[in-house]
Amino acid sequence: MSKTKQTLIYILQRLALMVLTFLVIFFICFALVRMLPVNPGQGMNDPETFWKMMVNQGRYRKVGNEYVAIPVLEQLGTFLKQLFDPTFKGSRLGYAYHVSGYWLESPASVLFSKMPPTILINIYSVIFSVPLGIGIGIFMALKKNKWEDTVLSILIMVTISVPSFVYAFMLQYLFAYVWQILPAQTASASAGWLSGEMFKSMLLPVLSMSFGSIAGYARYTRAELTEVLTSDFMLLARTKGLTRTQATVRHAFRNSLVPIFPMLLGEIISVLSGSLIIENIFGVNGVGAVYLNAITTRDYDVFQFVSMFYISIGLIGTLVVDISYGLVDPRIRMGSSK
Amino acid sequence: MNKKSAAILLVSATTLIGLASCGPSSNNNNLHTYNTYLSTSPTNWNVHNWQTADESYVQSFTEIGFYDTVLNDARDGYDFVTEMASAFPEMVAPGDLSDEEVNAFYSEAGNADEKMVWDIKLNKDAVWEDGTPIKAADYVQSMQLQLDPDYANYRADSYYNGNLVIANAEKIYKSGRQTIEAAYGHLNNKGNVPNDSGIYYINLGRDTAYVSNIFGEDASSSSFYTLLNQRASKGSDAMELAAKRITNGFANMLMIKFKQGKLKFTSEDKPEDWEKVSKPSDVKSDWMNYNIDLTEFDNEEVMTVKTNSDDWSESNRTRYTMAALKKDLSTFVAAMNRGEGSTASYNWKLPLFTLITNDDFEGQMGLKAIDDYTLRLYLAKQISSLDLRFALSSNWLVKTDLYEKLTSQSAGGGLQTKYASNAVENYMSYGPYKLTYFEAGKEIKMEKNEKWYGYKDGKHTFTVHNSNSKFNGKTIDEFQMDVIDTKIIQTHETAVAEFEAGRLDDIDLNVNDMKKYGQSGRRSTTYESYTQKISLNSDFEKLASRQSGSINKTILANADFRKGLSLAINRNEFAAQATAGSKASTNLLNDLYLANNATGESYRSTKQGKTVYGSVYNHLGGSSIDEESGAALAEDKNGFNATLAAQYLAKGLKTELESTRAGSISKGQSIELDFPVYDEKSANTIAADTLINASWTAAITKANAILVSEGVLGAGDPGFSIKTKMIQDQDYYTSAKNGAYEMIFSIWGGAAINPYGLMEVYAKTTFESTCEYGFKGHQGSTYLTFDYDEDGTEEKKSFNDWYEMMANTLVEGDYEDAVKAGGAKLAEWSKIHEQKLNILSHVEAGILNRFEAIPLVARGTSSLRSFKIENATDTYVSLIGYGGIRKMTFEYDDGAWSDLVKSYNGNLSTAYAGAGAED
Repeated sequence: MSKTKQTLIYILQRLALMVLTFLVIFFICFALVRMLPVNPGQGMNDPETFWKMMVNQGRYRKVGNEYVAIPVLEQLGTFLKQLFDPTFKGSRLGYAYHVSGYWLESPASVLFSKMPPTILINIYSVIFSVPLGIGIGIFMALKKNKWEDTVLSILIMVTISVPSFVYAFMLQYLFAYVWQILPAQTASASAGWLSGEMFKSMLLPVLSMSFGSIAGYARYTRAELTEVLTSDFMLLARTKGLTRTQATVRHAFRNSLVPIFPMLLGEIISVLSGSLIIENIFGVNGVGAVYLNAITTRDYDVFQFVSMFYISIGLIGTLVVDISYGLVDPRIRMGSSK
Repeated sequence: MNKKSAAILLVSATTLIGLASCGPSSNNNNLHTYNTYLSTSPTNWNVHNWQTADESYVQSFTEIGFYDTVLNDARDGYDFVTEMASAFPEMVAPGDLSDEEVNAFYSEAGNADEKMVWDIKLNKDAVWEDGTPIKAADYVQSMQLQLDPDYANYRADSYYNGNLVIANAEKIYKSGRQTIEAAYGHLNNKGNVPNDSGIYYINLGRDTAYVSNIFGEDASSSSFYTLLNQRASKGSDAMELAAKRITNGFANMLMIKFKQGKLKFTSEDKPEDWEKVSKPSDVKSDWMNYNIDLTEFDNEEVMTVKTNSDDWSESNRTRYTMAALKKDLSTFVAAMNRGEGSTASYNWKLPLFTLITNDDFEGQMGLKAIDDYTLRLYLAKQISSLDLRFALSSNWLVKTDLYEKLTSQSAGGGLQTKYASNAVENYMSYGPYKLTYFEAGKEIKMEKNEKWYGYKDGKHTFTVHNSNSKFNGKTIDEFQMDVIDTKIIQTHETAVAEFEAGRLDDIDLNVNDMKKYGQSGRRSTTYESYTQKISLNSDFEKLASRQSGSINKTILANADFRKGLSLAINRNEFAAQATAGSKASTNLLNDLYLANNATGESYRSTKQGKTVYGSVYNHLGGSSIDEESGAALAEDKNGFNATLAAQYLAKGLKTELESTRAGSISKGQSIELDFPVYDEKSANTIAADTLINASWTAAITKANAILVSEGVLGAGDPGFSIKTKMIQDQDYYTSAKNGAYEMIFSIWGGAAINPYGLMEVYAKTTFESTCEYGFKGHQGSTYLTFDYDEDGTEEKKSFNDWYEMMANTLVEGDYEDAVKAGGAKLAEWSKIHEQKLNILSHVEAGILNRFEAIPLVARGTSSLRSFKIENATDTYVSLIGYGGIRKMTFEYDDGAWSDLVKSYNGNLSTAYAGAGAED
């Protein structure tokens, strides 16, 4: 069997596994959410309209004067039917009864409308943390076991141990209230997503989110690079006449990137996810708030949609990372052959 | 990384930082911007549908009523002004109606009564923010949308369920729809409701005409639960048992429905509350607004109690079927023997509700455009000119073409509109401000609506009377504010920090903030009509039955001792340490209660209201005289006098020690008071309990010293001690009702426009929930003597009789009619008014002098305002607050404010904390 074919089969297997995992999680989530008590008093003008919607969506049926919940499996069947029925009118994914500005908006449009600030903050965070984290890691590896390495290692351990919301409050207090250099809250959309005002207002949440990543990259890079630097081929590279810098950049760093690169891919995919706490502290009008609101206001359809959306992101991220190992380093063989 | 890549990265980073440092500034230095915040974002602001306070936030700036209340010149009440109307309502005499009008709206009665048809002349200068004139037809079309049954708009009942009842409004709104209505009033003499479905519902939490018919229109609650609860112990054994069985059975049904996931939950009941319910008596009265089909009692395994108690043990439970429920309902209603049909065989239906299919209604709506600028209101119920102005201080006007354009089919049938939700383009303003930015969850911005008539008509000016304002003495325009920028800030600490940094102009304070800002002159309080009191059990027999061993409780039956307890509490300290914004109070009725609804005159500012403190505390708190010795004492305020407190405690202890009555206190005993509280872990409750214990312990230590000095206690005798014992009891009012307590915090309040009615809870013998157990039931045999009619002769009546006289017998009539008539009619109105106030003040003082109800604070919430702005008055005025945005003055424009903040290095917290009180 050719290597390409083997790789394709592996990817297909992983895709199938991903879909299966998604469906299992989806079913568990669906069943649990549909078993929760509904709230006809919420969002609607009168409970009767709410119940009619429940009937239309195949969740309840009217027996006498009572509305009785339909068994979950039957509800699942109706849901899937409505999801793929091109003639179905209405929101296939249910409705946002409370979180939405409109009363009966689709959970998807609620979520996607809140995406821009979250994505932007995460992109800034990646831009900021990746070079800095890798740079610090290289520096530490080169200064291995010297005082610089020890000091940075201690700082990194402290940074990793402290949760990000602690930095968030600390940074907000110092930068926004003591020194008054940066705003405490992110700007509203009217400023323009790519404006300087927006960027400036996002610096604090970006920094708060970046500390952990910087420490993570630095630690990982240091470990990988240290290992590579002590390899035999590095000795060979030096003996063939390369300078220490040439050997480090051309041979050591490139090799150490093999395990780091997939981490970067995972990070890029996760820019879609928000941080509940950081968004709350800095007033970021992003997806974190939607998720939190969906839970506190018992907006089940939104909760389920957002949950499944992030589960998809997580699954796709893991798949891409796994596949990328093989693409980045041809020595890694994907799939097994007998 | 090669040099090229590094260069690109460097350029990108430089560009971004450059952008950051030269971001556009949205501030215009000459503007007056008011920066404020909300902790939760509204999702809509549609005047036809709003439900929460947040949802009425935007329209409070962008819309305005026909009439409005404004601070009066004396700055102690309010006046009505015209806004969207050009004149006050003009009554149309029934004789002036055309046959067509009579046939359309009053055919059954033959004609309208007086005060049922009113003309409203509209303000011809009123326009939408785009300049389109607002005409009478706009109001009519808006009301048609408000009442349209397809929209099922939430606020429709404002036009048929209160004082303002527009003819046919309810029929139009319910046209063709099935609604659940109170059976009472719909039942015919055969016990049937025409067009009913044959399905009857029991709902203990919803108001029904059956109960209001028994209690009267002024009752605070007309739910069947209230009737069952209050009347249960006043009837026969059979009636009591029936009431208990109905209440427990219904509550058990709700417990079952909760487990089935069929409760809707409201702001009053939440799933987490229901999770804690283990027995029917755990179900609060506020959680009972559910319609339960009677046949459900046969379908579910509902249980109720066998005996007249809330005992939910296995042995006291029995199955509760529909037949058993009907029988109990019948027993209770027959025993009440009130209301039409109460003795008939179908009487069990009277307190119930039934599903009615409303007829399709084709008739006319009682609102018409007489011409382009005149509206005629045809009402189904009489209304005074004053009440009509109150009712029309809000509005129903919407931009109908936009409203309909944004309408779509609802997934549950019917229609829904996106008008006034989510985006600026979904809305049209017509008030002093227009909405210019709306980002749900982030920011709402409103700016001056230059098209608003009020900026040009010369009528919207006022003279500033505030020595802290740079405008003091000058006449300036109302609505100085140019921009209202509202941020959504969920974290309280962030909001406080933003305020301290000068980026917000107001902040709500919590109990922790009060430590820093409690004494700030920038603090103002918005009061509620509730007084928080300690209610004591003073019934000797009951207290004796609750004590044992070395614990004494009967000392509370001694009036001097209770007086000592009251004097020992520093109410200012209590308000500062145990509440966030409440104000020390020695009164049962706070500043919000109105003596005259028409003028806004506060009861506390009347000469009668002012006498109460003197009648109770003249020689107590605030006195400089030692009542016992005549020696001078340090002056204290608000009913607090530690020295006198000790003297009164010692006096009470001495009397009781000398008493031979079984159960009286004896040497060596300690006083322990059971203190049922709603939540013993609440920070406020713990702070309150700690402060009370510390105050009483300090006072009783001093009292012990007095007793030793008087030889009542020997030097070696142990002194008395006092402590409270908090007990978690979420139904502590019921515990108090039954005397199962020594002290509770009782919090009563009512409609600010009816101070007389609130006295029912203290003075009426038959009121079941009176919290002062020793006084409860004795109001009819405890007397007060005073000269209520100022004829030189004192009259003696019981508390109950004085209450009945002022609340029910003495009726002043309509103030404005009296003023219009003048002469003898006005003199008669004033005479009765003064009599009522005389009685009210004496009854209030009489209750306070018993020291069973010991007021601590008038409840309120505190906020700080920035140095940027000044309110029109420092006195809180009912309905107006401190003058509102209409009369707020801006002491700094945005540029000057920015300079001021910089001069404080961006941190105004010290300045706010140390800001002196204003005049």
